[in-house]
Order: sequence, then structure tokens, then C-alpha cells
Amino acid sequence: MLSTSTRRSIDAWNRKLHNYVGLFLLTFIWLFSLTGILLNHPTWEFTKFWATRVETSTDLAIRVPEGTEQEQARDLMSQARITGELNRIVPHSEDAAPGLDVRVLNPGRITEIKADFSAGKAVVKRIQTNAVGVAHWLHHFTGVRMGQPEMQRDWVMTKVWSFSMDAVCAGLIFLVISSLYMWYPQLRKRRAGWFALGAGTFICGFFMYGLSWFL
Amino acid sequence: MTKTLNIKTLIRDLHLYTGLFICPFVLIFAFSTILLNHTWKPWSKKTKEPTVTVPMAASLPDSLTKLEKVEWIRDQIGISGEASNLFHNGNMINTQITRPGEQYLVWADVEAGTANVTKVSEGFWDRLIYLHKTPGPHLAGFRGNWVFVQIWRALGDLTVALLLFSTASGIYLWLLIRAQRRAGLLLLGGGAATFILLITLLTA
Repeated sequence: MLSTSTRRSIDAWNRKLHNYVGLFLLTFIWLFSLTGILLNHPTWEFTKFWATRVETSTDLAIRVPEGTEQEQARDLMSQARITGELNRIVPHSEDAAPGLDVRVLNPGRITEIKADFSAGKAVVKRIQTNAVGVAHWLHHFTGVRMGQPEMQRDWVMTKVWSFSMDAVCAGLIFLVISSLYMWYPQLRKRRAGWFALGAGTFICGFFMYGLSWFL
Repeated sequence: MTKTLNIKTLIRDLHLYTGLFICPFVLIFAFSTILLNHTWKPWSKKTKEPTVTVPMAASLPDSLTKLEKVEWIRDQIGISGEASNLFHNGNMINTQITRPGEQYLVWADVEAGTANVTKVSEGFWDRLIYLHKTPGPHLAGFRGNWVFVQIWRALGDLTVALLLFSTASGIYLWLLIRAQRRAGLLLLGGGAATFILLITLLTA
């Protein structure tokens, strides 16, 4: 059994950490919440960012890259001064001129490099979306996709961003646990609290299992 | 003084109760994000049941929209759920009816009046991921063709609204604690600076 002073100290730290974690993650929570609304309502006019995208194309003289396809793609990105998540590498087919097509992703931007090794040239096409597109992309910019194990995060910023997503989730889970810890000892608020928590749990439980059990 | 106290008490109570209400929603979104972020499904079980042939009573009426065809096929095979897509080619209609933890793969021959239905059952983590990603941004105007997905969409919006209220009320309650103001400001500023730095580097 904990002594009263230990218990008080844990209570005080829990309250403090609840506030501090919430404050540190505030902007991240706002971003993921608001972009969740964007993804939830693709028919809203202002969320249709793809229609207003801007496409530009530039020609680039290149030296022929060497190494594996991955290394060649990295070299082409470096020659074109592009950073981002390497999304796709497609070598030209045998009946076409030797070359490589590379797609690089940044939140809100797709860059495609179509390199023709025999001509020593590449066409760099850039598709840039507006701020809504950037926000939309940030919500799911993980560099990986469920069921596609070949996709791996290869850009340091993708790794940092996906780590920050984990941190936000861990922070939210902590906020939930710490709020339960603060609420439960308050006898006066226990019944209403159970009602609120129970209502949320019942609705989520119904959607998790009820839909398949009862329908 | 009393008025301030009342407002403070009211906001504190609302912060507590709205927070408690959204706790399970937040947990669903948080845990499923970690799974999606690591393409990881521990103890994932997916079982495919044998295909069954279901008779369809009515013939497909002419000139139905895609959404009306979904409605029609759900009525015919007696399965309730969200159609993730629908393809109609000649006599054949292919669709996938989904709900948390279950998928029904449907191949209907409207000329023969039969439908082959294969049920795929999924586990706990798939249910979380399904709820996180449903209805989602794809096939706008088509997805959300099941009333429970429409309700879940509204609940997703409500969760965001209550989460935003929790953050706003949390800021108000924090500002009332003088002893935590400086450290709180530093953390709030640190979080915002980290956020701006990351966005700048990601989009540069």
C-alpha cells in the first residue's frame, strides 16, 4: 500500500504530466484531428486539392548513374537536387532506350524523374498541390503501406515523421490513462464519469463487434 | 469571483466528461495508427469460408445508378454492409461488402439469378484499422453507402470536435495554474517549434 505522501506525489506528477504532454503535442493533435476531418469528407469542395494541382516540367542534362537501381535512383535525385521519400523505381523495358523512371514523394508533392541514359537527359516533372493537399498528405505520410512489405521508409524525414506519429499516439494513450487516474478517485464525479465513459465504450463496442454480431 | 469560479467548474467538468466520452475513440485511432505506421498486425487471423451460392429473386432493373445497384445486390443476397466498390460487366456484378471484422466477396450473375458469396473473417486489429480508415478519402460520393458508415463518419467528426474542445478547455485550465505557466509555455512553444521545423523540412 502506498503512503499518503507517495500517493500525493504521484497525483501531482500525473496532473503535471497530463498538462505538459497535452501542451507539447497540441499542434500535432490539431493537425491530425483536422486532417482527419478532411479525409472524412472528400466531397467537400475545398478538400478537392487534386483539381488545383500545379504541374511543371524541366529538362535536365545528367551523367549516367551506376550501381543498383536504388543507387541509380538516389544519384538521379541528387543530380536533380531532390529530397524526399523514394516511392517507385521502374527500369525501362528492354525494347526501350536504357533508363530509369523514379518517383519521389513529399507531403503535397510528387516528383517524377524520367531518365534516358543513352541521351544523357532526364525530364523532371513536379506536381504540387495546395496547402490542403499538403495537410491531407501529412496525415498518412508514413512511407509504408499495409500488405506491401516491399515498401520501406528510406528518407530520414519520413522516419522522423512516422516516429512523431508514434509519439503522438503514445502521448494520447498516456492522456487517456492519466485522465482515468485523475477522475476515478473523485467520488462526486464517478457516476457521471461512468456514464460518459460507458456511452463512448458502448458506441465503440457496437461498431467494433455489434455490427458483425447483430446484422 | 463566484462567476469565474462557476465558469471554471463548468469548464473543468466538461473537460472531464467530454474527455471520458472520447477515451475509447481516441484509443481506437491511436492504436490503429501505430499498426498502420508499422504495417504490423500481431495475432492477425484471416479465415476464408467456403463460397456459397445464393439465389437472387428479382432480375436487375435497367438504368440503375452504381449506388442503386449496391442497394439492389445487398437486398438480393441479404447482407448488410458497406460496398467498397462495384464493377458491372455484362451479366456479372462484382462487389465487396465490408463491415468491421468481415468482408463478403460477391460475384453475382444477374442473368442466371445467382450470386457466389465468400465470407472472410478478420481479427481484432483489422477491426481497429477498418474503423480508422472508413469511410476514407477514396471513391468520394460512393463510399459511405451504408447507414452505419455514415454514422461512423459523423462520430469521427464528433470525436474531432470534442478533442478540439478538450484541447481548448485544457489550455484554459492550465492557464489558471500560475505555477505551471512558464514550463507549460516552454513545452507549448517547443512542441509548436518542433512541428513547424518538421513540416518545413518535409515540404522543402
